[in-house]
Formats: sequence, C-alpha cells, structure tokens
Amino acid sequence: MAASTNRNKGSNFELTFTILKRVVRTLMDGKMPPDDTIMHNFIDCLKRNGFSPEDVIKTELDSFANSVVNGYNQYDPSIVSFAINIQGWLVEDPAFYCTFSQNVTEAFSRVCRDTKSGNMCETVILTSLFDCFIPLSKHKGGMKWIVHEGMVLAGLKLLNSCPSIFLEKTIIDFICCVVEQLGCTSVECIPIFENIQSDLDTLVKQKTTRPFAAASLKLLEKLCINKPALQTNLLTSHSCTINSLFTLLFQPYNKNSEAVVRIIGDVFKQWSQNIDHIETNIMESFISQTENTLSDLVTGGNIEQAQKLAACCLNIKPDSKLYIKCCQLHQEPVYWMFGVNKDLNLLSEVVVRSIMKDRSRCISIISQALDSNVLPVTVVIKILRCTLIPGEHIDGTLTSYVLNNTKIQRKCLEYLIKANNTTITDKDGICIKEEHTAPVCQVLLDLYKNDESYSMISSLCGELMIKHLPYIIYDDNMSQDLSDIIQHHLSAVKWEHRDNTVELVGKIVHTYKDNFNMVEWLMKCRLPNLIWFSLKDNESYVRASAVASLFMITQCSQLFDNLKDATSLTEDDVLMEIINMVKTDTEAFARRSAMKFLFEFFKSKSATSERQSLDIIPWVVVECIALALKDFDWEVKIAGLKFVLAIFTNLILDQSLGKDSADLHMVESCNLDRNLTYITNILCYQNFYDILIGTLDDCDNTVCEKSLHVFTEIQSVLNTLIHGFKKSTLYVDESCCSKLSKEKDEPSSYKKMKYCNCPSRDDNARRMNTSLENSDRQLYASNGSNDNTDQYYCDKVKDKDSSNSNDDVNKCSCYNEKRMCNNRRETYVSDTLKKIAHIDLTVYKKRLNHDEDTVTKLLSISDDILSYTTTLCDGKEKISDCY
Amino acid sequence: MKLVCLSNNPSKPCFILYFKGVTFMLDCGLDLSQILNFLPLSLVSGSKANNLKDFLPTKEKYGAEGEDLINELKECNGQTFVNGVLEFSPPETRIIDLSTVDAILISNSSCMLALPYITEYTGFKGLIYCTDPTLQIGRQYMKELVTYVERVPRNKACNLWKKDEIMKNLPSPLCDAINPLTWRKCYTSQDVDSCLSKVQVVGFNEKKNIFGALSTLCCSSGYSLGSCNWVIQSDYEKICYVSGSSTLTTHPKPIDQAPLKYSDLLILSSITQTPLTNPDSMIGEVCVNAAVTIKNGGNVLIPCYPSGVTYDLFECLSGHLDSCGLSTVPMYFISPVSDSTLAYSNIFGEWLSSSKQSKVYLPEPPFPHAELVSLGRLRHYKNIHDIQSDFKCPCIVFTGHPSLRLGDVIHFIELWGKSSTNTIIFTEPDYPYLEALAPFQPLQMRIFYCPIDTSLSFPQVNKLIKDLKPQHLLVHESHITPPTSVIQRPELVITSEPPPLTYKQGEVITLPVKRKFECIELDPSLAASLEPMELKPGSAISMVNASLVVKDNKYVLKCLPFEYGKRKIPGEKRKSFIFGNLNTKTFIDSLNKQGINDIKLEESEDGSIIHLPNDDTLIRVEQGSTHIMCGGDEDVRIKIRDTLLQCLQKL
Repeated sequence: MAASTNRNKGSNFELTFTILKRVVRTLMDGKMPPDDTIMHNFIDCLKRNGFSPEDVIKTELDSFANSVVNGYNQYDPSIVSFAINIQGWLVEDPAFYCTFSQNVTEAFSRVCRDTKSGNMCETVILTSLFDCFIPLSKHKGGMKWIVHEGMVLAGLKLLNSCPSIFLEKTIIDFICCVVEQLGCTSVECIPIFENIQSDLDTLVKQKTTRPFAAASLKLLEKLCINKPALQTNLLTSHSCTINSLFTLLFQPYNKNSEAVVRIIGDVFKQWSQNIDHIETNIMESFISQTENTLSDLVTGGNIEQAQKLAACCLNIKPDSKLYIKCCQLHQEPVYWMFGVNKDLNLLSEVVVRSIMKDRSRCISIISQALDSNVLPVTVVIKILRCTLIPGEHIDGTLTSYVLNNTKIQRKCLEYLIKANNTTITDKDGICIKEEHTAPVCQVLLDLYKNDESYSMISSLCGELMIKHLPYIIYDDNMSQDLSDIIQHHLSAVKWEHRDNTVELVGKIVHTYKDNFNMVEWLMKCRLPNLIWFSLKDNESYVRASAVASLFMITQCSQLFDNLKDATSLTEDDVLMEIINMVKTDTEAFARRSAMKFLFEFFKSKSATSERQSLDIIPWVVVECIALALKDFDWEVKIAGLKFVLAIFTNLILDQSLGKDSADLHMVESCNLDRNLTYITNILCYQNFYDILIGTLDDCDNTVCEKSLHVFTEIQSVLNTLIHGFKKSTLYVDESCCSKLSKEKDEPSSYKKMKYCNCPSRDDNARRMNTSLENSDRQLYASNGSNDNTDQYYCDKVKDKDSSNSNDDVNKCSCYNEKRMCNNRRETYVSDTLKKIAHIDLTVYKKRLNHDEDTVTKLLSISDDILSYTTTLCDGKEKISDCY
Repeated sequence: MKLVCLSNNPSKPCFILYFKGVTFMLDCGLDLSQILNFLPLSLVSGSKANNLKDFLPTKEKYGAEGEDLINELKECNGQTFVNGVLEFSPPETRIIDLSTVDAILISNSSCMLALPYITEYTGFKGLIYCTDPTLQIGRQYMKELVTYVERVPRNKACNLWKKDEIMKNLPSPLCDAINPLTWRKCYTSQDVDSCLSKVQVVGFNEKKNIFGALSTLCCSSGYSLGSCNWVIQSDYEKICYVSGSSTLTTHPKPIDQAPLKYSDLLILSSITQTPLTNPDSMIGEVCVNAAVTIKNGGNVLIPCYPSGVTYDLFECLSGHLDSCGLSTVPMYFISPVSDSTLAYSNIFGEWLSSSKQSKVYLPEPPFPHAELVSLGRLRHYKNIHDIQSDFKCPCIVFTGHPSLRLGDVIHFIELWGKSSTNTIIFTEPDYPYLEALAPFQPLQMRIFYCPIDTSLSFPQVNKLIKDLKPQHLLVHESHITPPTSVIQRPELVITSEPPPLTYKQGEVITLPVKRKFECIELDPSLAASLEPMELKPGSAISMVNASLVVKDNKYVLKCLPFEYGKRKIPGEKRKSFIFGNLNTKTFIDSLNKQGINDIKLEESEDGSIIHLPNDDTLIRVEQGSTHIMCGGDEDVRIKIRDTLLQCLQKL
C-alpha cells in the first residue's frame, strides 16, 4: 500500500532512487559523516518510506550492505555498523525477509565466523550485529541459522567479558528473544542456563565486585521478571542457580544483591498472584531457603541485607511464618533503637549495639523499616518526633543521627500518608486510627512550623495535614498554631515555603469549601486576604499558585465575599487584577495561571449562570485573550486558544444550541441572536480575527495544532449557524440595534471595566455600540485619518458638541453618518465571517500531520550526508537544488 | 605587664593595660542596662508611665527615712521603678588614676559611649585613637542619647533608694543594682563635642607610635562601619586586643586576621550575647514577622540604634517586603541623627565590604537605603513631631532607644500597644526584652524577640583562636562556662591550649608576658669605629665601648666622649676576650713546637683528653671549657696556658 502510494509521487520518487544511489556510492567510497545520528535518522526514514523489495534493489542498498558486511575489515566500523543496520531492516519485514534473507545470512557468515573466533571485537559492529539478530531470530529460518552458526553461545561468551553496556544490553535482549522463541526448556537454551550458573559460581567466589550488576544476573533478571513459566523452570530444574542466588546475598550489599533481591521478590510476587503456577512443595522449599537465609543474615549482623530480602517477601500471605519473620526484621531494630517496649527475640543486643555505632547503618535500617509499612503508627510518630526534638529514653548518639534528618522525616510522612489512605484494618498498625489523630496532628504542626525544613517536607506535611484539618481546627490551640504557621509561611523568606503554603491554602479551600466550620476558620485566619497579597509576590511561581488558589476561593461564595469585604474590592476588581497579570506579568508561568483562572472562572460562571448566554464574558477579557494569543509563551497561547475554543464550542453548542445542528430549531432565537452577535463581535473586535488566524502559523507546532482545532470548530459552528440562521447572521447588527431600547435599562455590573475602554457585559446594545465605534475607528483609520485614539475621540467630541449646539439639520446629518457607519460595519462583519468560514484548513492540517513528507525528508537527510562528504562539495550542484 | 578590667559588661568593655611603661585604655563602653530600673522618659505628660501608682514603703522595713521613697519610686505590675533623672553606669574608674592613662584605643562606635565621662570629668590628658567612621558614628550615638535625655528634662535626682540599708530591702531588681552610687547623669552635648575634638583618627593598618615605646595598629574587625581590632607591639612582644568582631558577610569591611596572628597575648571581648540564635535566621524572622503583621493590617515597631545592624535591616526588610508584594509599605526611621547616619553610611565607601565598595565606583550609593529614601519608601525624621500628614499605616517604624526608656519608641508603644494587630520586634541583644517592656504592661501588641548579634559566636571564636595561635588568651570569666540557660551545651564555651586566663570587673591581672630583650640602636659614628670579626658566615662580633642614651623610650649607643675614649689609666692592661673552639690538632702541634713531646690524645664523647706523661699533666678539652691538671711545674703550666691562648681567637 505504502509503496504504491509512493509510486504516485512520480518524479520525486525517481529522484530519491538517484540520490540514494549516490549516497550508497559515497558510503562505499568509505566516506561517512562524523555524526552517526544522521545515519540513524537515515535508516528511520528509509523504514518509514514504504519501499518495496524492488525499490531497495533499485537503490542498490542491499548490494551495498552485502558487500560492506562481506568485506567488513576494509571499511570504517561506523559504515559497517550502518550496513548491518540496513541488513537488520531488510530481514525485519516478512516480505523483505523472503527476498533478502539468503544474501543477508551469507554476508553475515564471515563476520560471525570472526566473532566466534575472537578476531572481530569491534564493539560498534558487534552491537549492530546482535541487534540485527533480534529481528532475524523472529523468523523460523533466521533462528535456525543463528543457532546453527552458534551465535547464542558466541553471545554468551561475549557477555562474560563485555566491554560495552550497549553491547551487553543488546546481547541480553537477543538471548531473551531466543529463549522466548525457543522456550526455556528447549535443548538450545540449556547452554544459556549453564552459562548463567557457571557465571554465578564465579561471582560467589569473587571477593570484590563491580559497581554494576553482573551481566549474567541482568540476563537472569530479564528472563525471570514477570515470566512465571521461567520462574517455575528455575525453581524446579535449576536449584543450583537458586542456591547461588541466595549465597550472593551474603556478600556486601551491591548491585548484584539488588538484582538477586528483585529476582526473589518477583518469584514471591508472581506466586502470590498466581499461586498454582509452582508446585507447593517446591515453593515451600524456596520459602524455607529464604527463611534460612534471613536467619543466617541476622546472625551475621547483616541486618540491612536481611531487611532488603525481607521487604521483597512481604507479598506473601500475612499469616505465614516467613511474613511474620520479615515483619519482625523491620520492626525489632527500630524498637531497640527507639526504646519501644515490646518482646524482642530476633536480634541480639550485640548486633544492635554494633549498628548503633554507625550513623548510615542506623538511618538505612530505619528507612527500610519505614518503607516496609509494617511499623505501627505510634512508632512512626515517635520516630518523627525524635527528628524534631531530642527524645526521652533514646540514646544520645541515635538522637544526633535522627535529629533534623530529612530522609527519615520524608519516609515517616510518606508512611503516614499511605497509612492515612488505608482503610483496611486487617494489618494491625497500618492505618491511622482515631486515637492516633491527636499525636499525628501535633507532630505535623511541629514539623510544619520549622522554617528551615525543605520544601518537599513541608509539602508532604501539608498534604497530610489537609486530611486531618477538621480535627486540628476543632482544637483551639492547634487551630491557632496552624493559623500562625500558615500566616508565617505565607510571608516566609524562602519562596518555596510561600509557594507550598499558597498551594496548601488552595487545596484546603478546594477540599473543604462546603464545610461550614472550615470556611469559618479560613475566614478567621484571613487566608483569602493573604492569598490576595500573594498575587503581588515577587516570585512568579508563588503568583501562579496564588492565582490558582484565588480561583478556589472564588468558587466558595462565602470566602469570596469575605475577600471582597476585607479588601473592599468588587468582583470586577479581582478580575481586572488577573487580567492585568495576563497583560503585564513578566513571567509566563504566572500569565499561564492567570489565563487558566479566567477560563475556569467564566466556565464555572456560565455553568451557574441562569442566562445561559455568552455575554457574561466582558470585553476586557476578550481583549485579554487576544493578548494571550500573541504571548511569547506557547502555553499561554494554548490557554488563550482553549478559552476561544470554549467560547465557540462549549458555551454555544452545549448550552445554547446543542451539538447537533438539527437541534438548532429547538433554541430560542433570542438567545441565539445574542450569542451569534457576541461571537461575531469577538471575531471582529479590533484585530482579534487576525491574531487568531496568526496562531495557525505559530512557530510552535502545539499551538498550530490547537489553533487548527479551534478553527475547525469555529468553521463548524459558523457553517451551522449560517446555514441554519442565515438571516440572523446577515442582519446581526439590526437585531442588536432593535434590542437597544429593550436592554439599555439593564443594570451594569461592569462599570469599572468601562473605564478600560470596553463595553459593559450585560448591556449588549451598548457593547455593540462600542464595537461599532471600534469598527468606525478602523474605518476612520483606513480612510487616511490619523489612527490615533485621542484624535478619534476628539473628533467624536467635536461631533457631539456640534450636534448639541447646532440645529436639527446637523442632527439629521449625524444620524445619516451613523447609518453609513453601520452599513460599513455590517459589510465588515459579514466579510470577516465569510473569510473564517472559507479558510482552507487543509493546508495547515497537511503541514501539521506531515511536516515534511517522508520522501522530502529522506532527500533532505541524503543531502546532509552528501554535504558532509567531500566528494560532493566542490563544484557540484546541491541536491536541494534538484527538488 | 598588667591588665585591669573596668567594665562589668563584657559587651561594653573597658580595660586598662600597662605595657612597657605605657598605660592604655582599651575601649570605653557605657553599660546602659541599669536604665531599665528607671521609668521611661515619655514625651506626653499624660502617658501611662506618668500615671503609675506610688511605691508605698513601710516604716518597719525602710525606717523613717524610707518614707521619702514615695517620691522616688513608682510601681507598675508589681515591679518598682525609679522615677528620676536617668543615670548611666560608666566604667569603674575609682581604682585607677586616669591622668596616668597615655592613650585610649577605641574599637567601634558602640564601645565609646563612656568617653566623655573620662575625658571631661577626670584628669585624662592622653591620646584617643579610633577610625573615622567610628568617630562619626560614635558621635551620632552620643548625640542621639543626649538629645533623647535632654528632650524630656527630668531634674529630680533620686539617691535615697541607693542607700545600702534601704536598697537591700527594695524589691528586685533594684536591690540587685551594682554600685548605684557611681551612676552618673548623662553628659551634655558640649561634653560630646569637647571629648570628640580630642580624638585622632587612624586608618586600617596605619601604625601609630606611642611615646616611642610601642606601636599600635588597627585592623578591620568586620563588625560595623570602621570597627577594628588593635595590635600593640614592642620590638619583641605583641599583644592583640580583639573587640566586637564578625566573620559574617554584612556591610562592613571583612575581618582582617593576618595582623592578629602569633601574638604573645590575645585579649578577647564583646563576643555574642545571644549564643543560641543565628543572626541570619533572626533577620529572616524579623522579615517574616513584619510581613505577617503588615498583611494583617498592623504596624511594626522596631526599637533600634541609629546605625549598625539597622542598615542591614533596611536592606533585608525592603527586599523581603518586595518579595511578598508589599513594596508599597512605608518604612519610617525616626532618630535625632537619622539623616546624618544615613548620609555617613554612604560616604564611607572604603570601609565597606567589597560588594558595596564596588558600587561606589559605578558610582551608585553602596546601601540600598539611599534608593529607598529617594523612592519615598524609607522616610527619615529627626523626631516624631516632624511626621506630618504623610504618615501612612500600616507601616514599619525604626526608632530608638532599644532600652525603651528614652526616645520616640515610647510614644509608639503607647500608641500601638493596645492593638494585637501591631507588633514590636526586638532586634538589639543589649537589653532583656521582657524587662524593657515591664513599665508598659499590660500590652496587647504582639511581641517578637529576634536578637541579631553579628559578633563572634563561640564556634567562631574557637576557630579564630586556632587560626591566630596566640601564646596566651584572656577572656571574660563568663565565657569559659556554658550559659546558665543551656548547661547541657558544652560547646558554648571558649577553649584553648593552654586554657584561657580570665578577667572580671575590678580584677588586676598580671599578664604572663615577660620582657627579655630590648632593641638598641648604634650611633653611625660608633658603628663606623667598630671592627667586627666574623664568627661564621653572616655573623660577626665586636667589642663596643660606648654610652647608652635613653630618650623617648629609645635606646641608642653612642661613642664615648673624647676624653673618656682617649683616657688611659696607668698600669691598666687592655682586656682581651678569647672565644671560639680549640682545635686539638693545632694545639698539639703548638705544644710540640714548645718542646713538649710524647703527647697522647684520647678522643671521647665529651671532648678530648691530652695526656703529657713526661710532665705529669692532663689536659681535658670540652665544649666551652678546658682544664689543665698540672703536676706542679708552674713553668709547664704557663707554657701550656700560653700555647692554648695562642690557639684560640681573641677579641
């Protein structure tokens, strides 16, 4: 299909063949661009181009790859690697495989022979070779050839002394692919497991370890993880391997033991999920082996390793012996350290004392215990408290370890958050019970109070505090403390604290906006007022968060009223502040948040508005959207476009019209008129239309995509309207004018916005007049007059004065002028709407979907390759000139 | 060499140092903490302080004379205050004769407020040295103090309560007052001018010769504008005096440690008064508390001195208010010397930190308060009456005095104290804030204590000592034990090896510095007459006959007068001096030449033994001595002696 499509491209495609031949010949001459990224792009492009096998032959790519691979030692390794990658592509697709497999495998023979004999050790070539074997092994014939050539064994041999992590990963992927294709019990796979076993034996004997896991362990991990069949095979047929794995755990903790723990952990995980896939007696033996290993590790004082192993065993049944032991392993060291009065029988005092001497060991053990989620909440609270103040009955050394330790604080908070979200009480101590609430709240307040704490800690603290807020505000002391702390943090020196706290207030408002007591408390703390102050913060992140929190406040009428009362502001003032932020804020982050505020504010306003009409959006906001569409920041533009989209789609179709044009007739024509007038006026408002259409050509693809979406929707709406209510569209101004007398007495709630040279929101007719004035102004300018606002108004005032002072003739003349003006305006609106309706969006769609078609891109890359090589540079025409 | 400590407050030091015949006074701090026993000098006659109830003395307790205490003492919230003219506690000068003091070395502007008491009311006629900024800012401190006192004249001197038999029965803290009879009324403006006219300014690292005996040098201490430490040096001894110093990066020039290294004695004073707080976090606290108060619609009152940390507070607070979107909040700086201190801060460019210095060359004002003033965000007034209609609330007011006993701060406490939205923030560590607030209680306004003390903390002092490596260290006795409030913090003490010596008020300490050498100059003509003999390369010796002339503590060797030089006493033999080591081989050869044969030489660890068996003589040659044990033949002995003398070098 793809090939036939390409064939239709005619001369361009023929040109491609010619150029590719030139590229191939250049590479054959041993010329290679210094940056191999271009070659990878070239292959990617080839793969996407939809070539047929015949096309490949035409371009001589196959013969190039064969001859290079055949004579690999005569070429630069990067060219050989490229040629092998080409061959990998040629055997990937079944259709290609039939045509090229013979030649490919023949060409590989020499490289494979040399690889086995150790004569070929170029990492780049080997990586490409084994990478190429992966698609080849997916074909039955290919797999047969690989096995026959002994490349699995060659891969295993290379794996043991692999010089490159890329080669190692490729070989591991290749061997996994082979095992997957052949099955883990097949004869061909026996050497793989034998090799792993022998490598593990070597690892067990090794005294020193590398900073990364051994390749054989990585291979085993990749083979086993999430593959129950392989795990079964491992437990049943490779007990020696299992023994070696457990033995490796006795080595000092390193990447190898990490891998082992992951493998063992996955066995338990799979077993707990699919309990039947391993025979019970085999699993029991495995469990017993795990238990013994844990005991031995504890006896040897290696508590950290034992904890790591125990952590991965916690997936099994909670009542099992192993589970209890694993829990004890996490709990007992902590109980020892923090003087928790419990029966302790797993650890000896000598072991604990040796741990206590080492700060990092103590912190590691406490952290692991907290991660395991088996500590009771009371103990976690105690640990958290010890990080804040020196605890009684706790060793002084340990106190110095944990005091102000951020890691422990974070782990405790994460634990408490998890425990807070848990409602299951079957695991004792995991969930926060009622009696824990008071101490949890108190310790949270103490932690949150600390100015020096990291923002991450205060953020987690805040998250947890929100859950317990009803309790906190119930207690007078805690409530006052929290109020003081929040106020303090909202003015903190570190902006991160201010930002986190502003966000926290937003979350509190969002969570508890319907809770009367909470709203009362928020008002008592003057938090809405303080959030208002944060809008002026010097740090853009804080301003952005303040805008988001302010939106939450606007959604709670009581809080919003409180804010307005406390600051003597009106809703218009609040909106104007946000609009000013979009207009003047120097940071995109804040502008983005402000645009989001406006969008969400009007969205929620329209949802609650009884009038179900678009004209709740004042003109200053439209002006603001226009500014957002011209913003330097792409996300601000997207926010603007979202708003536009909402105006043209959601508000009209969802609320006024309905999604189907057939529903149009169900809508009151009055409402439709009003909305239609509104959207046409938006489009014709100053140069809104030009700005909007400019976004189609934006330098950022995401903006173009969004803009295209917006225009598609606008066209859809306009077409629906034009076809359904043609009359209304054409006589939009008359319909508005006719309403002038009816609506002019409506009270204006946007008086202040008028000062911004904008019409009022409710008074549609007045707005229309302003719109007409704007139109007049544009026309005034187009007639050669000075396009100066002052001049314009000056003339208008003169007109007005003259009309006052002169007689009726002048009035009549003025009226005629107005009529003419209206006519011109009508034509302008009509033209704009027509323009929008007739924009050919296919051009933009095409550009976005296929920024460049693949052939062009391929030619472009080819041009780059050739221009890198010296042969083409002198005096020869550039390929780009050809197309 | 001795040192006498005259001050009871280690942060307001005053020492007398006797060194090489010169008497120095090191700093002249005025301890103002006892003015907390007095009632505030309120500007308004109807203020609360003026309407307190009288102290009712009982006859049994205070005797018949005690009844008059009603005229001297007032009560407020169970605490008793003296209702009379404010008195200050100058250094304890009764134990020394101030007319013998040769020079006063001043370290910084906060350690010189007692200077007029010394220069104007004693027989002092020595020299006073300090840096120019210290002089100018010190002048502002004194003028502010004098203006505050003179502005509210209170002539009634109260001395009855100071009588021992009455005082011991008075309630605390009056009964604990130390030597109240030595307290003095504030000096006058004329005293200040007269006193400061005697001061000589010095620059950093500028050496000043003190009567030829010693040289003094001041080096930056990083504490405040122009603050310094002193190095007092003779040719062979070096004593360093480290007063208020700071290793923090604030506005002054950083501390210069190099001149203070390897001294024989390091005298340390004025270390932090708030060892448990960190100045950085305290400044942060001030900023946050001020911003919270402003956001809640309240006003902020910061009692402060007219210079020093106040400059840093202007900078930090304005920056923080900007951060919190409160850049329109005005800051008022009210002090009789507000305009001059702000102006002085901007002209002492070379005494500032390098970052501020670099601004001067741009040219820009080094402190941001210059811009704040030009923008109208910081408004400064000489007194509260100058503030007319442009006083806008909420606002931040910086005004003095931090003791809350004098100055415009009293008015603001009375004005804003009733509202819990207002806040008072204490930043100066010199006064216990609860005691300072006592006469104003009950107060509704919020109170924050954020002491900002940039002086050296204990860890910083200990590090400094390690770096400076003094042979002996002298510290206040309170600094070798942890503060009483935190006994479990053993790190809050000064430690050194050998353990530091301590001082306390009134104690005379004999310093462990022994003078062994003195430098003497050779007169050129005398030098020309000498014929030095080279002992070893680079070293030569010569015999000198000269007269020692001592003048202006300088020692000079001059040629003897002609008649003494040429006069020869009959029969007098010119004395010669032998020196050098005996070369035994040369000696034996010489003995052979003298006809003494059969010489046996025996080398040992201690030297050589030469045996002359024929003459029954044994010569033992050791390092520094030669013994000739002769059998009794005098001729042989003389022959050996002369031969020996010939083998040695002679002067």
